[in-house]
Amino acid sequence: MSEETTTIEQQTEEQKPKVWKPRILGILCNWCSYAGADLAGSSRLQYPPNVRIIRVPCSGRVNPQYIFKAFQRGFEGVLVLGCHPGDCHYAKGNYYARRRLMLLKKFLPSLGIEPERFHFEWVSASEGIIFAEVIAKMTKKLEDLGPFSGVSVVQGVTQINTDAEDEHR
Amino acid sequence: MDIQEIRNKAKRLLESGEVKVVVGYERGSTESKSTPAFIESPDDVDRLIWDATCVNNLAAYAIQEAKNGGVAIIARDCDARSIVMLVQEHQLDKDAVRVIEVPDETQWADDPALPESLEERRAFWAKEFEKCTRCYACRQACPGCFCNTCFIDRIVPRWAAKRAGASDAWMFHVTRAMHQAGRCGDCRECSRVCPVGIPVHLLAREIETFVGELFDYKAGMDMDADPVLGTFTPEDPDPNEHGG
Repeated sequence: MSEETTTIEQQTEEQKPKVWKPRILGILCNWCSYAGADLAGSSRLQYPPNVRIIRVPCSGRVNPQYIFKAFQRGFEGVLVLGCHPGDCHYAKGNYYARRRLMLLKKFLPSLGIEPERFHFEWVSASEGIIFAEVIAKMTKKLEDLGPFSGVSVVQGVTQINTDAEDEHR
Repeated sequence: MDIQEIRNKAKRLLESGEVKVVVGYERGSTESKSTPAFIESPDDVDRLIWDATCVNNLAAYAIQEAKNGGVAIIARDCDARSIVMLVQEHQLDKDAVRVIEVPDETQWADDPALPESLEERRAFWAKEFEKCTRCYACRQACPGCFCNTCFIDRIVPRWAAKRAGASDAWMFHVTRAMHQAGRCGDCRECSRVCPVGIPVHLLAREIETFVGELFDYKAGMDMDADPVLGTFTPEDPDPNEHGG
């Protein structure tokens, strides 16, 4: 058993990225933006591999809490993509999302979080190219901003999360 | 304001049967304290007081007391805004509530200013939330916190751990502030009741400023207005005009 553990640990050590790379949480609407991301993939478009995507039924499903949670867990950036205004599958979900998320973006600096760390845009199912561009632009912006020291840095010491969940990040 | 005037109003409301209970202030355990009073009989209105010790936002009792029939609440301007907000949110029947208005003479403590740089701000809040004992007094005192089950008490999904500590407390306070968008009348109860002195009202105040800038809306001013995040217009500020 100990042999096996050693091997896994060694592998993990080897797989650790040598250079710091920002991680983006992407929350994408099922009907437009997720299909747009899919199109980017099937069109073999190149975009930075920094984004982890969660599919939601509608941008109106995005609770501002999700974005706070992502920052609390240490994501360097959060991205929400939805259907263009007027194109929502549920007619008006993205209009409600727009109010909440515009407010959230304005609020982030009050917490000391750069507004650039949160991006919110409309991407339709046919806009695979725009999806790839959005990811590339945001990755570049986050690389320029540098690592995110988290929401709980007190006098230079980051609080260590002891949650089992947190360790599995 | 003359206390006799308040007592007379309370007496009339109770005698006419318009309300079942008047929520006001009475003398607390010492001369320097007041405590919320629930007056159900016209004979008891002399218990009511009005002086500098009367600071609680009594709108927090509105929902609970309105269930037993009409309620009259002694309210400053900010407290009255909470009551209007509860009517807007369909938490309170406007016919079941009366407001006995009193002038706002509260001696507010000076607010700490948020630091200029983003890095300092992040450190400011981390340092404040590090003190949080997660007693939830802020939530209990807040008229805007009317959810039956608070997100923070849920086990699945668990939004933050129960333990104290800057990271989980940040999650709680920031989310709670966001939930107050378009609901906060700036009564500052959350900060006043905080046993460790976190200026938590600054979060909701920041949000209300942006709600005003973006949507030209002020919380608790119009009983017939839709809650600000419960409505939209196609002309709302758009990420494409504001650089995403």
